[in-house]
Amino acid sequence: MTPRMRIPLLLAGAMVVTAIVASCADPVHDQLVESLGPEDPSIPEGQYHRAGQPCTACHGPEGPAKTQFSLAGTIFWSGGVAQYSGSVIGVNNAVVSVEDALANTIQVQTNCVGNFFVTPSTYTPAFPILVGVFEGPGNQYTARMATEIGRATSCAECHFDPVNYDTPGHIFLTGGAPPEAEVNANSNCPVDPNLADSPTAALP
Amino acid sequence: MKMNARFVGSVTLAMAIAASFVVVAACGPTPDPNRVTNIYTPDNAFEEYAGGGAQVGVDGFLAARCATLDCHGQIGRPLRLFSQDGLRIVDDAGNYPGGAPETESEIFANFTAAISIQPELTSEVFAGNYDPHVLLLLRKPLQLERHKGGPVLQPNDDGDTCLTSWLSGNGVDYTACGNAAQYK
Repeated sequence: MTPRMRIPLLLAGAMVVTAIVASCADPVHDQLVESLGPEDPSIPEGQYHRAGQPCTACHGPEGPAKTQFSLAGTIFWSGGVAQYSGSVIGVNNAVVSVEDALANTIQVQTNCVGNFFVTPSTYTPAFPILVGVFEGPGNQYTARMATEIGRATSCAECHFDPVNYDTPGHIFLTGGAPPEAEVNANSNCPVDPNLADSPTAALP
Repeated sequence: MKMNARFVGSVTLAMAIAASFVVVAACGPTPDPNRVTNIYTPDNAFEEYAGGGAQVGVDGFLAARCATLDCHGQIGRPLRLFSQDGLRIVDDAGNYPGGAPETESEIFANFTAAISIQPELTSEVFAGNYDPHVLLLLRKPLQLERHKGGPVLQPNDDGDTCLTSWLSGNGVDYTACGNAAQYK
């Protein structure tokens, strides 16, 4: 084969390889990750970061996070009367109770910003699942989901800010103002548990 | 050497032919915006779909079990379902998930979505010419066709009975629809 013949074949081969490599990317997932914006500089990457965001956008099978979650989300106290102009404080030590279609259950506690997560090795639910959240003595504060979850693995896939035709807003444990004693008890949190103080608060 | 030249020529010719097919296919006729597909349903199809009072119709079942925000309660779905706790129709009412009860407009939009997935075939099923199980509305949840949400119905269970009784035109089984709307 002469060099002149090789060139078109090499070009065709390069085009095929380029097409295959390009088809391996998922632009929808990439855009979702991109839409979450940068980290809040005041909160290091870890269990307290990105409260209220769709955790498994990054902590899912497509990454880019190294750890993978089978379920994750954030629980907040109500922001008070003006739901979204007031504080949006994470609930510490709330119990998130999950029951899946095979009646397998798990209970997970939230950390001080309200984040909770479950790894696939601990529990991978068979959808649909039913979820309730409980906190306080005798489960004084209780919120149960009105619907089952069909397949979402992050609360914030559906529960994001602000309330609109397609979202009920964040998950709030109370309808009124946050209970002061509970919020004060959360003052040892290593990061600010008030989402409203975060520069990324407006992000989904 | 001659064979190689022929090979390269053949590849080039094949690529040119393939490209010409793509170009010709891309030049199809412009869709007619005035074209209408009629869907023929029994007179009481919407009443049975909607239910009312103590009777849970087909909508009560679909709204409870299929219309969650992470499934068919999404605006881009071919079977897009509105519900009180899921997606809300955008209108002056300004409803949001978990707010006011499902509106008449939302129920009618759900009815339209359910019968429009396969309009011609749905008309034939309502006319009694085919078994309801030829429709994607049943084949998907029964996992006879790929369904991203998995098998959410089993043959002859309450959900299957609810949809089948409605589509067969023999009177919807409100009891089955009511049972199917419950979380188990």
